[in-house]
Amino acid sequence: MSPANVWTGSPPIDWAALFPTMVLVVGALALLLASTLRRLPMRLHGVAALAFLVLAVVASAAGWSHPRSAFDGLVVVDHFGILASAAAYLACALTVLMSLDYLDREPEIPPEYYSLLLISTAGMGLMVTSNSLVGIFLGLELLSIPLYVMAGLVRSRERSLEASMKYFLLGAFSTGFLVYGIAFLYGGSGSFSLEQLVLALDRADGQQARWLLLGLGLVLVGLAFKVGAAPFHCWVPDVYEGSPVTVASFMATGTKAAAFAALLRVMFHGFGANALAEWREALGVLAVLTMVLGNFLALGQSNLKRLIAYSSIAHAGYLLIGVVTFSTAGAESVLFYLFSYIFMTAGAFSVVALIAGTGEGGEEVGARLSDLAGLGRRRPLLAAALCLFMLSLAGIPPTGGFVAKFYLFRSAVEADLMGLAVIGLLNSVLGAFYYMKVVVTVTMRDSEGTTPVPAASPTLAYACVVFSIVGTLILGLYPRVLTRLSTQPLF
Amino acid sequence: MSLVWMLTLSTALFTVGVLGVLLRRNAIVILMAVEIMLNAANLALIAFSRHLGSADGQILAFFVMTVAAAEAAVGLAIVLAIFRLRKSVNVDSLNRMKW
Repeated sequence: MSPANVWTGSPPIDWAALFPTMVLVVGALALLLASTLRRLPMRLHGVAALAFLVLAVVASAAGWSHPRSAFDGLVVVDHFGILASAAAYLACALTVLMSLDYLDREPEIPPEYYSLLLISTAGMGLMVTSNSLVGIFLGLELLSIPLYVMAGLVRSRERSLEASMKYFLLGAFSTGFLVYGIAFLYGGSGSFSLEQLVLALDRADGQQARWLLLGLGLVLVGLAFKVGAAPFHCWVPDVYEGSPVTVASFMATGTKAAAFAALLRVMFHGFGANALAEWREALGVLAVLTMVLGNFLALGQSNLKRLIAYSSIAHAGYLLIGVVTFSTAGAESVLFYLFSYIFMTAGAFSVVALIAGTGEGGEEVGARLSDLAGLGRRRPLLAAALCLFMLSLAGIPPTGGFVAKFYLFRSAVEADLMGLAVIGLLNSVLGAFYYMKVVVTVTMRDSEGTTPVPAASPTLAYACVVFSIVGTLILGLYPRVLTRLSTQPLF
Repeated sequence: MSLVWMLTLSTALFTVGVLGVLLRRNAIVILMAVEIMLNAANLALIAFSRHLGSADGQILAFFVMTVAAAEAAVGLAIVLAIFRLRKSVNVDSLNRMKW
């Protein structure tokens, strides 16, 4: 973004780098237009959204052999960007799959839902393929603003609106910190480019160094809010509990993947090889705090959505260990973890989406643990699937969750972070308690009282469950499908 | 006017915004406090842009304004929806789920 280009004739723009984002935005607008012109069945919207997602994946994967960049680094489609945006597209596709059937049971959700989903996904794609603070900021907002709306789409349900309000207020608050941080990074380095930031960090002294330090701290606060790391996690449980199941799933998987990818990029580019020791320590403390808080608070939960919310906080803590390593192996293990996390969390949410619905008084039923009691007898296959996802979240072989934790802790040990690896392991043991509580409730308890609403058309709804099972098992049994992709340089 | 004064003003505005979000209980006032935070950042961006002699900061300030407008639109819509249901925009009344 050097000012000289503007006057001497800017270089040609490589539009191909923008294709995936453009496909999604055009798709979202087309769906929006279609829903105003004519009342089409919701399913059709969903299938169209899936088609646009497939197109975006193809457009993004086409750039694998030769990395592109446009707007002087504002959009950089490198291997890391392609893999991270693939994670975001996967999260979106799984969300669409589970929505196809779920929306039949939440009639209040309008067809614009799918447009918002695509716009948010485009934001994720932009956020993870940007080497500039401008791109990261715009991507983050593009992903967040539709999510504020989506959380509150069930407008007659107080919890849904409450989730929307809380997410919006705290999200906007964290945006303030992020932008203020970006302003100071700009003041210290004279540019928004992450590469310039490395150079500036090396030679900065006095006033500039203070600005850079302040800026990095504020940006870190902004991103920590989005990934739900302690002590900025307090919105996560309420928002996940109150939002519609599919939206909560999308927040847990997509937002987490995009925010962690951006965090990795800022940390790796922004700090370079000579990461300041104090920053590693600060992030390490954040990781420990996040893991411990998430796991301990999850122990007493009685609502599955809320339980997964606390578990997602704990997983953010594990993922932060990978960021603290500041190594390529750490970045790869974070990517692998994100993929397996997407499969198992979306899987767990898709089971909830199959049994949850609107009960008497407009409140949601089916997500409480007591609703799940006796599921093993009523719906044995569904119960088995839920148990598999819980085992994977707990990190038990032969699931993707186990391999992901293995890679992550190994990269921590290799980076001489023995203490963090041990704390992570102890936390996984602690986490196993509440995942097992779900398994026990599902398989051994008898149902008491009300039985939740049955699925409208199980065949479609099971697609997401089956897809997630396959993904979880493949990543667990044959992790090379993913790891061999990262043999090429990531950034 | 020197950079230090502009940054001091921007920091003061940012602090007012943060305190507003933390201390006020009316959702619309909180929204206004967030806007003050974003505009404090804009002021800092423009001050740095002038100091560095590069236009980049001013361009980001435009983006921030656009985003703030989008956020305000969505935020007010959410406040309106809550008001219809609750007849109140006090955030302390958002207690169906424990914080």
